[in-house]
Amino acid sequence: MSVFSIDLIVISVIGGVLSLDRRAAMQLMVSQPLLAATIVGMAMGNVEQGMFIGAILQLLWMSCVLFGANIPRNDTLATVTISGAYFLFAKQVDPTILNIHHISGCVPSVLALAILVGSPACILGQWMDVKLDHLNLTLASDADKAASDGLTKPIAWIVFLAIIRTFVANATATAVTTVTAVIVVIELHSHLGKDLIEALSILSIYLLPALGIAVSLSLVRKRRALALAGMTFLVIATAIAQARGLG
Amino acid sequence: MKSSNDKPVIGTITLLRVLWRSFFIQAATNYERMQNVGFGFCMIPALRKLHSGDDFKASLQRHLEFFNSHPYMAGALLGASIRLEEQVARGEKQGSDVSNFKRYMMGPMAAIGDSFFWTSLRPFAAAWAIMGVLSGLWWAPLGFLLLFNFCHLTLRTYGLFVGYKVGEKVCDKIHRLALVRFAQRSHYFAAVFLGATTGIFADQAMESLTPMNDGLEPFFLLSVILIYLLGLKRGLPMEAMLYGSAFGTIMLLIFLNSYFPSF
Repeated sequence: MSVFSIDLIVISVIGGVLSLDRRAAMQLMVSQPLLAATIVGMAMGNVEQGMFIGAILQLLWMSCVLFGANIPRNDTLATVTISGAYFLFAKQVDPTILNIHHISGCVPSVLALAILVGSPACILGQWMDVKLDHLNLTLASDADKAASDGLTKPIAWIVFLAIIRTFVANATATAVTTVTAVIVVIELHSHLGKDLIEALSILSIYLLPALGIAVSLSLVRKRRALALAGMTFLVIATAIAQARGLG
Repeated sequence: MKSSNDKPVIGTITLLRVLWRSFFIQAATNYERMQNVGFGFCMIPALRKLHSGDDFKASLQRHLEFFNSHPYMAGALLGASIRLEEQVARGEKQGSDVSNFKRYMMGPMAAIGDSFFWTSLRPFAAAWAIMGVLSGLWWAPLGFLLLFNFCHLTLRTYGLFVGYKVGEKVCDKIHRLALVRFAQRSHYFAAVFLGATTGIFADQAMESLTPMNDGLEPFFLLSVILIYLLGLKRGLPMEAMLYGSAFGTIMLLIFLNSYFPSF
């Protein structure tokens, strides 16, 4: 078995296990993008870059929350796909990328491309979550039958089956989306000109963090808190300018 | 189970088993009755101790009715429901009282949980962790997990045990924790962390291979954030802005490099 296949299996299993944490089991927030990308990075041999990817994606999907019956975008599937595509690209095309053990060591153009290619996975994941909820209807009627007979073991099996089903569906989806994303990223990146690489770098360095911060700030309900964010930023920016001798 | 006094009859071990099962309350969520299978699954260890025969069947069916609440706050409702089931077993209450209690309480509990955990604690802890990661704290993701789960696990466990102790009055006990007040204050901290994070991103942009020179990065970043915020306030989806920005940047760069090669 090739190294690529082993890596893909590892990423798929990580995707499947983390998807359980979203709803089916525990809900310890390990499935949040920050943690999910860090875990993928750890498995692929560069935890620092994984943490950086996770930080950007956490900001972008800060508003994905399970409110009531609402099913949000599946940020876990998208995060594992994006970080998986990034690290598999690095292993296949330029393994030296993985030797940069620094928090801002990510290659900006590859990261931006992986995010643009992998983001639609969150919509696929959302659709899959809706389908799984529909499939669980039959399990609920099986539970009714067991309860009317006074049986408890079938109910425990139903819960177990639902967990297994969630794992298998998400692990399979992770494998499919990651393979697709990495092929597209490798193919597109090899044909990119200087202009496009520069544009993707600007997107990764300036626009993606800015969009993530904006999404996160939009969740802050207090106007005074927004003013506080602005003031903190000005203080930090002034300190940076002075440290660099620009003030 | 028949007992004339009001002393609790469910032991700590049984409550711990219910607590463990509560981690899977959303496993078989479905569109018709939401978390009903999960709630029934959680109640089984306690119901077995309290009822037998047809009473057990009826109680199990009772807990497979529609249920939808915040998963972390469900512990409080589970504890209170067990207490009420005890009273049903003693003949002091009707089975319908348990169903009505759950029906009336799941909404308010979900509202408290959503406001505290999803819209306050999670953004607060995540904003802190992101700031930590960008500042080079390798343990920041772990800190996020510890901070969030300390509150999560404490409230889940406290809710179950207090719910079992006080029964229907569990909402008063949860209300006294002033979670909503904490939730409101946490927005200020989250905003400070996000402001600092923006500053760190600006610093990283200065060190990158595509700097803007003259220290303009922080102002550029701030302007773009304000434009995006305006877009989000007007209801533009994040994905539209993501792909729109990518398209716009590529077009602008191609135009500038074609017509102003020295730019």
